[in-house]
Amino acid sequence: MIRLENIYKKFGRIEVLKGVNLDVEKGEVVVIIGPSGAGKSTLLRCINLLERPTSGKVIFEGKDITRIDGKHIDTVRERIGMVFQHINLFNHLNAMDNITLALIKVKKMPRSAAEERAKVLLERMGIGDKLYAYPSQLSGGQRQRVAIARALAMQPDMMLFDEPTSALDPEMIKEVLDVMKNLVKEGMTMVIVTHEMGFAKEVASRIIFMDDGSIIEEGDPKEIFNNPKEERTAMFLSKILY
Amino acid sequence: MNSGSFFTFFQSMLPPLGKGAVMTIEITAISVGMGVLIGIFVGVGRVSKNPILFIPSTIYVEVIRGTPLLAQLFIVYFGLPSLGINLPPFTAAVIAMGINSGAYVTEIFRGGIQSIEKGQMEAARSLGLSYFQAMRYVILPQALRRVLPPLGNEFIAMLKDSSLASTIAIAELMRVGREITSRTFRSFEVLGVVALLYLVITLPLSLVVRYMERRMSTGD
Repeated sequence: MIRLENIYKKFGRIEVLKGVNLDVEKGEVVVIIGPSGAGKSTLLRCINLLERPTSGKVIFEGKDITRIDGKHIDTVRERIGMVFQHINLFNHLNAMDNITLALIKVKKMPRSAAEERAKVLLERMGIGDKLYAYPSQLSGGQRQRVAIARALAMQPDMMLFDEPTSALDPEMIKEVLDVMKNLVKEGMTMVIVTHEMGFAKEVASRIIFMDDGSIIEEGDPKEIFNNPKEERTAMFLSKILY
Repeated sequence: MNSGSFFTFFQSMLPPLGKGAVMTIEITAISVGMGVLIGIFVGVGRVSKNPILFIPSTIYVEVIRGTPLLAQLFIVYFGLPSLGINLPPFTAAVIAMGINSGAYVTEIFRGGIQSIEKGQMEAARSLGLSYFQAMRYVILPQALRRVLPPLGNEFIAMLKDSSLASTIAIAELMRVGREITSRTFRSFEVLGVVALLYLVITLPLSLVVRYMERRMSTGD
């Protein structure tokens, strides 16, 4: 579905990605782990071109999208949902309008149909009673679930999660992970950057360990967690696993 | 000093000064209104990465803010006729002041837009909204609320600066005051009252601005 070929990304003189290759098939759940500063988020953001790679190719459904222009990039992004660490709900809109905005403006859906879809999604997220709540009136976990609903409303072919629980209070992490687990069950193609190792082990069809701008090791979750081949992977896991 | 009680004199000059004050408010409102229209568009240009938008908008802001309003007013009213463009005083004043205000409002909007967290734009773009859709439906509505207090201050500043329009024969507050002065020679009283009238208009406005600022600082 998406393939990244030899991606390099520089911010000024700092090289954040150093020749990364990544292939995600339809229905796969790829979880990217690694220390902070490894380039995990940047890699994720290259998939929907929120960051343009300095060199290398991004190929979406067989088409090279690395250098496409503004208009076409929007139609690609429509099909790749993204959930952010800092949630980024539109602060001036209630939950319903957060979800319907892109449906109405991008998909040109009639308002009534868009609102119907928003209701169904919020119901599924377990917050059907928060339709008219503004982001400031919601807890972190509720906000993140609205954000997931907002991305899902576009009926994307793929979802990107950039540390979706890192900014949440501990007691709210589970409700968000549960929603994500349901998505996995439904067969959504997902790429997830997370520090929740238990979750990663449970849902991933493949784990990717990154460090210092490169993929160090990738494979089956059991393999990676139980007997990593690379020393750096083992070091990282030994530091974070109890 | 002329005889006659100040009170009856005050009463006699209040109606014309009142009319002048109305004109002052009118010119200011139209000018700042124009300024806001200009400011929204040029402000978006000022934060653009596209040089075709960024460079002209930056030149506009720097030229207007770096030259006196009086000079701009004179160029429009006395200068343009030599190019064959004759504008009536009111139109000239509103155009000059509107363009002037636009530069300041542009910077207000630039600040407002830049104060919105980067994630808002990214979230909007990730949903497939174009840059301009994201600006229009996500960034500007939030920026607009944040710029209300500085826009209020711009209105107050422009209201005082509109006294410059007296130099091109517009019967606004300052001009009326000077006309009464030249008839009665009671400069101190008349100009004192003129200044007081400006204060009567600006003081409530600045209280409103301060109220808005307080509300913003206690969360959106």
